This record gives sequence, structure tokens and C-alpha cells, in this order.
Amino acid sequence: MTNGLTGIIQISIAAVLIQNFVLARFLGLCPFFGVSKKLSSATGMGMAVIFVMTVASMFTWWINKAILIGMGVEYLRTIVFILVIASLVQLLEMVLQKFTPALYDSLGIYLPLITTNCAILGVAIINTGVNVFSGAEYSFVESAVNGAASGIGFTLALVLMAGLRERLELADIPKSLDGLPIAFISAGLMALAFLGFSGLSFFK
Amino acid sequence: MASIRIVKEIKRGVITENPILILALGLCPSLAVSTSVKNGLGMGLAATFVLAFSNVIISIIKGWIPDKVRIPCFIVVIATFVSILQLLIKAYVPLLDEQLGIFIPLIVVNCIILGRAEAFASKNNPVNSLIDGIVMGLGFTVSLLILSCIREFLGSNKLWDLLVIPGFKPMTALVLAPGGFFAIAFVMGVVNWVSGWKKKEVKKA
Amino acid sequence: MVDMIKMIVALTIVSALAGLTIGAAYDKTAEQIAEQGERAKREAIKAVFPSGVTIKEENVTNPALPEKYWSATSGGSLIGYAFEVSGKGYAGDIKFMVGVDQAGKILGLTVMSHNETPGLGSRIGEVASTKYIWYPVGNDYPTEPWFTQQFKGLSSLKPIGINKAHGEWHGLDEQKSAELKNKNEVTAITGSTISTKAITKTISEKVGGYVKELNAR
Repeated sequence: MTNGLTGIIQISIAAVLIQNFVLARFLGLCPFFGVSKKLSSATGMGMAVIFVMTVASMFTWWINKAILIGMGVEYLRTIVFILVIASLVQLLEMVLQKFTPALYDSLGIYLPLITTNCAILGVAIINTGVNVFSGAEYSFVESAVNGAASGIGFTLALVLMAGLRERLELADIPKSLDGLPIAFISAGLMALAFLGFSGLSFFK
Repeated sequence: MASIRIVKEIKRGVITENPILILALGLCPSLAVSTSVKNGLGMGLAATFVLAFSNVIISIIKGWIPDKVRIPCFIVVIATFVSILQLLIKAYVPLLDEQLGIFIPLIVVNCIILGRAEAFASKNNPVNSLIDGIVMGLGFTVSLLILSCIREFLGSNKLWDLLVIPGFKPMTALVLAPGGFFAIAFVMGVVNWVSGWKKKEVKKA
Repeated sequence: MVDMIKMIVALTIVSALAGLTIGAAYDKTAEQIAEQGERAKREAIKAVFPSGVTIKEENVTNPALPEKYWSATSGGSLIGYAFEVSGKGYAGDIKFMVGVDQAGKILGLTVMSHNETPGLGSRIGEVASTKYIWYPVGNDYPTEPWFTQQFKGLSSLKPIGINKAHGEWHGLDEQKSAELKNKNEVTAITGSTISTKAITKTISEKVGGYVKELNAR
């Protein structure tokens, strides 16, 4: 079982730091720049993304294995995944509203935005590919961990970015760089910093 | 008359409502694949294909789709064209498939396409929607080309895989992730600067 | 209720039509897609052998050999073998085809698929352009990637070293590249030693063993 555990640790570290969804893979940029103006909303969005990514990873893994590969219709993957994710988000919204109104109040407004977040569909597609570390396909547990860790990586970048942008509000920025351009430059500097993780490797 | 309208439409898509540089939509693919001009052009044309066809179909079926399931239906239409495109690319340009990888299926969630479906195609006739799709796709392609020219030249001293300046040592960081952010920040800054400067001209006059 | 039914009917019809359309597109392209994969493999095999040889697919059930490899003959005499192998690169497996002769000398190497970082590791398949955008005609245009070219003539039976003192191979003069050949060394891609190592290690670990096994028979 140690093998499975190291695999899971490798996947998590890679997804959070080395291949950070936002800063290295360029996935989920729209919410990354759209919701990073305030720290509080960034945290809320981040939590919602972690949640949906984990659940979506589990569902799409199963659907891919049981239905798409089982019936030999892999070419329908894109359309099936996007439908599953869209209905999953709707379902989650209803369930949260009914059973945990407190959680719904804090995450609810971010949920509809998530359907078109390419990070969710992205992780679902990555999970259908080959696991870089083991060279085999992702197992169910590995997919779920990959989803959760990718969500955590997204949240980490989002929260860091929101912290930066709150400070930037007070800074004196050249007029033509105000707003999005300066946010891009900050993200670029963060990406440079995260590039430093690229040599990180374990258990070789 | 018709030619004036086409020029106007192109100006709208490429300049005043440029999807990437002005509206900041579809950022993921534009930063991820703009590492070389070839990839940028491939991505731009792929998105234009989906944009044009899905706009037409959506404007045809808009009449009998209940309002509440509008968005899911649009997404299904877009996903259909993305899947067809994926198959076509795999069959006829497998190299592009290798280069763009995951970003081909992710055209489905490219906000530009759903955005145009919702804002334009669901309110206009098929011909106008087709024009809008092509024009917006053109704007997307042009911005991708600008970004990828900057990145390929500064990052690997090449354009379309051909060397540019003898002896110039390129900065690899520009074709890596951080370079994408820096390049788009720079281009947006220039766009803002030029438009601010234009506004001043108007004020003076 | 009527609204509900309308919604469900509309969504079902749209999805059904979508499924049918994609299915039809798949039907039309499936053959072509399979053909593309086959062609890529055929070309990779051809590229690792000298031109004008006859290539035959070999299937074996020896645990020390891959299930499938290819042998090349010219006028009845054996020229060498081609193996499809893969090594762990920086991001996933690098799959490549290697051609070797009976003495273990590498005849050619073609990278078939990889997932390395664009701009760094992805340069294993890069053609060293000598052509400038200002005068695109005239100059000789190499079609073979420089990185794989430097493996030609090295031995797969000895470990292949990585030389970092000289810079990249495509910039070397003849004397230095001959020196590398003598030492059984290749130059690394700047900033992507992991990708380079994936290939050198796989050759000496796998391909060398295959050659020895085939010679022992």
C-alpha cells in the first residue's frame, strides 16, 4: 500500500505546486482574474472550486470507465463531461440550499460561475489520461485526489492573488497598466516564483 | 454598402470589441497556446470554426428552446462542434492535436463562444450570427497572433519556426508560463495607452 | 408541468441530435484517424533505418524482448533492428523508436510522442533551424531534429553520457562532435536534463539488453 500512498502524495504535490492549475497549466484564468479583487470572495470561490472539482473528478472518472469506455463511445467524452459537470453543479446548488443553508449562503453565488470554469473540465480530461508518476491510468482514488489537490492549487493561487490585488489598490500604478494589466504582471511574477518548484521531485 | 458593413464588422471584432484584449475573455487558451505562431494560428482557426457554426445553429433553434434550458442547449450545440472539430483535427492534422492537446476539448468552456451565443446569436438571424461568429473569431485569432509573435520571437528568436536575428540569445522564460502573463500585460497596457491617447486627442478637438 | 415537459423534450432532442451528429462524424473519420497513427509508426520505423532496406515486423514471446520489434534486411543480409521504447521524462513518458545494428550501434532515433514542457523539454523534437525569416529560400534546411541526430553512431551497449561542457550539439564544430562520439556522449538540451536523461537511460537499459538477447540466440 506504500506505493499507493506515495503516488497520492506525488499527485498532490505536483497538482498544488509544480503543475499549479493556474500558474503553470493556464486553466481557470477567467475566475482567477474575475474573483481575485477581494480576499473574502476569493476564499469563497476557492472553496467552491475545491468542492466541485473533487466531486466532478469522482463522477467523471466513473462515467468514463463505466459508460464511455465500457460502451466504446469515447468520442462523446467532451459533450458527456460538460453535461455531467453542468448538471452536477445544479444538483449541488439544490442540495446545498436544502440541507446546509449556511454553506449555500457562502458558496452559492459562485456555483453557477463554475460550470464554465475550464479548470473543472480540465481536471476531468486530465484524469482520463495517463498518470505521469505511475505511467498507468488514474485509479478512482488518484482521480479524486488529483481533483482535490488541483482545486487546492487553484485556491492557493487565487488567495495569494487576491492578497496582492488588495494591496495594489493602494499603489500608484501607471494609468495604462491599471486594472487587468497589472494583475497579469503580478500573476507573471507569481508564475516565475512557482517555476522554482519545477525541480521538486520525490521518491526517485 | 455591403463592403462598408463588412469593414465595420471587422473593426468591431478586431478592435473595439476584441475578445481577448478588450473584453478579457478566453484567456486560458490564449495564454497556453501562444508559445508559437503556428499554435496560435491553429487555435484561432479552431475557435473560429466552432464560433461560426455554433452561432448559426443557435440562431436557427433559438425559437423553440424554452428559456430555462437555453444555456444547457447552447452548451450541447457548442460541444457538438468541438467534438467534430476534435475528430477532424485528429484525422487530418495530428501534429496540431499533439501541440494543442487538452485545449481543443476545452474550447467548449471558452467564454467567448458561450458569450457570443448568449449575447448575439440568441437574438439575431442566422446570417448576422454567422458574420458575428467569423468576425469575433477573427478578433480572437488576431490577438493570438500578436501574443504568439511576441512570445515566439523573444522566447525562442523565431517566427513560424524561422530564425529572426542572428546571434540573438532568446529568453526562454517568455515561452514558459510566466511569459504568457507578461506578454498579455504588455499588449493590454499598450492598447490602453493608445486608446487613452486617442481620447485625449478627441477632447482637445 | 407543461413547462417542465417542454424543457425536458427540448433538451432531449438537442442532445440526441448532438449525439447522432458526433457519431456520424466519428464514423467518417475513424478510419482516417487509425490510419494517421499507423502512418506515424511506419514513418518512425523507416526513419531509424538507412534508406532502401526491407522492413519486417517480428512478434516474439520472449520475456527479455518486447512483444513486437522490427528487423531490416538489405539484399538478404541483416542490417539491424528497431524497437519502440519509452522512458520517464519530466512530464510523462517519452515514447521513441530506436534503430540499432547487430553490434549495438545506434542507426537512428525518432521521438514519437511526449508531453514535455513547451520551449524546454519539447525541444527533443526540434529541428535546429538555420533558415532566417529574411531569406527563407536557398539555405539548406535540416529536416532531422538535432537532438536525436547526435545519437547516430553511439553504442547502446555502453551507458551514454551527457556532456554539459560544450553547449548544444547543433552549435558544435566537427572536432567537438567527433570527440563526443568517441566518448559515447550526447549534449543535453539547455534546461531539460531530465528529458535528455530519459532517452539516454532508456537506450542503455532497454535497447542494449534487447540487442544482447537477440545476438545470444
